[in-house]
Amino acid sequence: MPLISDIAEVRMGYHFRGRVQEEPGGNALVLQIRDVDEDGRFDPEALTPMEIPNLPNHALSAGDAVFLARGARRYAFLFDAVSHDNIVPAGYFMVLRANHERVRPGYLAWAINQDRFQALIDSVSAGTAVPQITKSNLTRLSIDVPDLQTQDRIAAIDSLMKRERTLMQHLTDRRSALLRAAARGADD
Amino acid sequence: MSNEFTQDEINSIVWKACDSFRGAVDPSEYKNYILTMLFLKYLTDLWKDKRDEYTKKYKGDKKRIERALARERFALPPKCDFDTLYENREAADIGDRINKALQKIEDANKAKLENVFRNIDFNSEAALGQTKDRNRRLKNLLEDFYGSDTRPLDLRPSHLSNRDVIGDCYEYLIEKFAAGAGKKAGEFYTPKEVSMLLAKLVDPQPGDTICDPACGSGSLLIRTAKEIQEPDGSPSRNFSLFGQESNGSTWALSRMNMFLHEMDSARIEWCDTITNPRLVEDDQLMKFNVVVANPPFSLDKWGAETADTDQYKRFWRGIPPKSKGDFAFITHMIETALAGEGRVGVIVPHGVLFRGGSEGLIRQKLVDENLLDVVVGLPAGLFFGTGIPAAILVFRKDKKKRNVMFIDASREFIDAKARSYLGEDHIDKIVKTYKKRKNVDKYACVADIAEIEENDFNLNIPRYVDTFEEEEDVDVRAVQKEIDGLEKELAAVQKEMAGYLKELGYGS
Repeated sequence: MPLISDIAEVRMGYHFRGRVQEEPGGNALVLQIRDVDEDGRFDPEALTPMEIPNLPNHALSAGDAVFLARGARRYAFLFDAVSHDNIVPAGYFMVLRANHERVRPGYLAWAINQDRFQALIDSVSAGTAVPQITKSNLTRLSIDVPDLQTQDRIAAIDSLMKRERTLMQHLTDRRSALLRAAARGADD
Repeated sequence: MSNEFTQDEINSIVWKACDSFRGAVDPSEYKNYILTMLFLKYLTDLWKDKRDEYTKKYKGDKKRIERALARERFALPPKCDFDTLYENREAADIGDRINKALQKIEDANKAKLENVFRNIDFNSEAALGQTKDRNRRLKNLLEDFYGSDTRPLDLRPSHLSNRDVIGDCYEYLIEKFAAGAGKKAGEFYTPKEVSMLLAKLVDPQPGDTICDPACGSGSLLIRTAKEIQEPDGSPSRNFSLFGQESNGSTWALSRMNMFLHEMDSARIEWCDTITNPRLVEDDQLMKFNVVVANPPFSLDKWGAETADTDQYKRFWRGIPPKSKGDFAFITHMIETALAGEGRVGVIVPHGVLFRGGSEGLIRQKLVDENLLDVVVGLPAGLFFGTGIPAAILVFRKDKKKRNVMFIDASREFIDAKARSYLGEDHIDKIVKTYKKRKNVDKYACVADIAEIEENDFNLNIPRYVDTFEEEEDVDVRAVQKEIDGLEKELAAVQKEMAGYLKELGYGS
């Protein structure tokens, strides 16, 4: 099994001095933990605008796997929002840029979230209150990498599963609304 | 640079002064030393201001200058001023010198400052450390308040405009330390905007007597007094202030605060309001046009055991529970408001609105007597060091119509990191709504006393102000169509997924 360092380039998110403070008209949108769910869904409108020097060095590009390195649950998701080239993840995220010859980013994000790899992460995480993993520790972990075609299929299924979850949630919401309306109708 | 010192500048001096004490003095005690020194500095600068004025006026005639100064608001005995202490900052007995200077100032101004410095000891080994440490701390403190040679601190009134310097400094220190000390006793400094709102609701008029029976550092009294306007809209000085505070060092702060605001004639008593009210005349409780307070929330051991035999018979409506003093303060306030015209404004925890037992019975009587005028629900998190949501109750003894107004102001505030704030717009809206006394959808409701009775005299605001957001009307057809679409898409996704799974060698 290859190491993370063999198949991807890892860099840290943007480290802010002090706290993230809104700067209207800033050139970047800062992605913080509270903005995003485990499926990697977030609302670009809700992100905090800030001025970031050397933006291209820090901004996410489509196909980056974003990994949350701190907290009880350390998960990864695939960043595929091509329409935004100014989103900057905060310092507790790491960005994994996959070497496409060897690994597909969608597969990489999925594999990181699997129990097997999570157990490895736990074994090298430090910190009692807020466990975290360092960049050098992460890059030294090994990970399963099947052939590219299999990876593509897994990534596709993973992304379809997320879509399925979203659709089912919508469906539940709309059915509840319909039910409430029906009950009110019966009341009149 | 302007001559006037901004609050930021004064705050930064105060913050530097805190450094002098760090490690030795408990943070909750800093403020007593620092605010006392701030006060001494103010007295000195004010005195210098007057001396300059009279020197000019009497062309240096020493006798006449002295005679004029002797008639001033306060006397500053020779060598008791800040500047003399500053010059002697290296002296080995500096702590003692400060104490003696304060004592002489107190003696020379008996009527105004008696006991004000009794609680503070600048020469205390227990509080400020051993001689060497203590002297170093005091030297730093004096230097901090001196300011710098290029910009010496000047607190004469002409340089402060009309600000609540002690109140603002106090607030600043509390914010910095989140005053752990008072928290357990349910004591909270009343934030500026909440005081302002309360003052506007009781609408003080020229000539009013105003009392705060739990006055703390006196900021609420001062803000209420500042609301008073002459008919032409100019600020009025035509009022008299009364207060009582049980905590000795806080009482001393409030005396100093009154002085800083040139409200020297305010009468502030030091004693427990419930067990030992001191604002009495001819064996009767004094009565006031306006009574305001932010009494300690749900005070335990407030003195229930003596309430039964209270010589002023304040608790005839019932005796509040031993462990919750809220209604004891409310009762006291109502009993000290003038019959037929008095207004009472009090900040309370929400429990006061609905708790049962003896509190329920007292509440019922207050509503029945038609004293309660308005209940204002405030946003949570307005106070320092607690998230507890509070309400303001206003009682009026001049009510005619038998109804009570409810205002739900809990959802409109400025959200900041440390605590929430009421903005000017929010305060305005509450006051205007109160004055109009009309229902406002989702915000305010005027309820007849009969309706309150139907609710068993429960004053919980949601019972009267309906804040439920009605769901937007559902277009059943459109939703049905949307559901069909979602189901189709879901089926397609699932089919696609099955295809990939098959390619991986699984699935049917």
